Amino acid sequence: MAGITVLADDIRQLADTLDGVDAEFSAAARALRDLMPEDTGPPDVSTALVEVLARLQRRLGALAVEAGDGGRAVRRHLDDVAPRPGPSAEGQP
Amino acid sequence: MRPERFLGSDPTPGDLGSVDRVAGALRTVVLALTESRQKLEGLVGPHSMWQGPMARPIVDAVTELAAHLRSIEDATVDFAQAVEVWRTGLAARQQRRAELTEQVSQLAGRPDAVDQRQRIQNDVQRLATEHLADGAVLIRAADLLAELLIDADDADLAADLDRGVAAVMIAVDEWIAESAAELVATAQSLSDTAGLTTVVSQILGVVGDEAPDESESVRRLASMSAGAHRLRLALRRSWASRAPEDLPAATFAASGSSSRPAISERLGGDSADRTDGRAEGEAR
Repeated sequence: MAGITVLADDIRQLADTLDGVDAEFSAAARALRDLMPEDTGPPDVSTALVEVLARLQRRLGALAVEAGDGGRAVRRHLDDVAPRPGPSAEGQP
Repeated sequence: MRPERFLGSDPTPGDLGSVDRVAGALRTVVLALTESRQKLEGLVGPHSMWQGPMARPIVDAVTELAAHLRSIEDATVDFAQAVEVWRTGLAARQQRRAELTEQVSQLAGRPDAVDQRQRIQNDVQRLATEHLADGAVLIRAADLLAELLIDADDADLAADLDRGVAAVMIAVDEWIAESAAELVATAQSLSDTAGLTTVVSQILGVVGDEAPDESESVRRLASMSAGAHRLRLALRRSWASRAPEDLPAATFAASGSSSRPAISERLGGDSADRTDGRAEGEAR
C-alpha cells in the first residue's frame, strides 16, 4: 500500500478529473453538433464530412457519459473514506 | 463572377468558410482529447499516488480510457490534417477557377477565339478532375476516422473504477486494522505529538521530499486526511477492546494534545505504570 496516503484526496482528484473529461467532451460534442458543414466540397465530400462529424459527435458524447458515470462511481466512495467537511476533527467519530 | 455562367458548371465546389469551421471544430476536439488524455495519464502515471497491486484495477481502467482517447485523438489529427490539405487545395483551385472565369469572360463576343476557349475548357476540366481526386482523398480520410469510431468497444469504466476503489478501501481497512496495534505501540515510544506525526506518516506511507511541518501535518492528518480519519477509527476500535470504560476520547488533533494524557497512559495497562519516566515524557 506504499504510496497511498491521503486516500480521500486521491479519490476526489480521480473523480474531479473524470468530471473534467465529461465537461470537455460534452463541450466538444456540442461544438460539433452545432456545425452545419453542408457545402465543404462536391456532394459526396460534403456528405462524408457530415457523417463522420456526426459520428465523432456521438462518440464524444458517449465518452462524456462514460467519464461522468466513472466520476460519480468514484465519488460515491468519498463518504466511506473521509469525514464530510464541517465539525472539527475532534468531533469526528 | 459566377463560374457556372462562363464555365458551364462550377469545377471546384466548396465553401472555404464551411471548411474553416470544420477545421476549427476539429481543433477543439483534438484539444479536448489531448488535454483529457494527459490529465488521465498524469493521474495514474508512475509518479502518482495510485501505485501497487491494490491500485492496479484503477490504474488499468484509467489507462485503458487514456489509450482509447489516444487512438481517437490520433485518428482525428490525421483527419484534421486531411481537411487542412483539402482546404489548401480548395483555395488554390478556386483562385485558378476565378482566373479562368475571368479569361472566358474576356472572350465573350469573340467568335474567333475558339482555340483559346478550348484551352481554357481543358484547364477547367483538369481543375475539376483534380478537385474530385482530392475530394476522394478526403473521403478516404473520413472513412478511416469513421471506421475507428465504429470499432470502439467501451469498457464499463464506472463499474471498473467502483470495484477498484472499493478494493483499495478494503485493503486500507484491513491494513490499518492490522497495523493498529503497531501504531499504538509506536505511539507509546514517542516523546511528543510532532514525533507521532512523523511515525504515523511513515507507517501510512506518506512520501514527501521535504520534512513535514510537524504542527501543520498534525492538523492536516487529524482534520483532513482520510488516512488519519481511518487511523482514528482503527485506533478507537482497538481501544474499545483494550481500554477501561472511562478512557477519554482519542484524538490526533494538534490543539490541546499536550494537555491530554499520553496515549500510552490512556491505553492503561503496564505502560501507564511504568517507572522509567518514559510515559511522563510522552505527555509533554
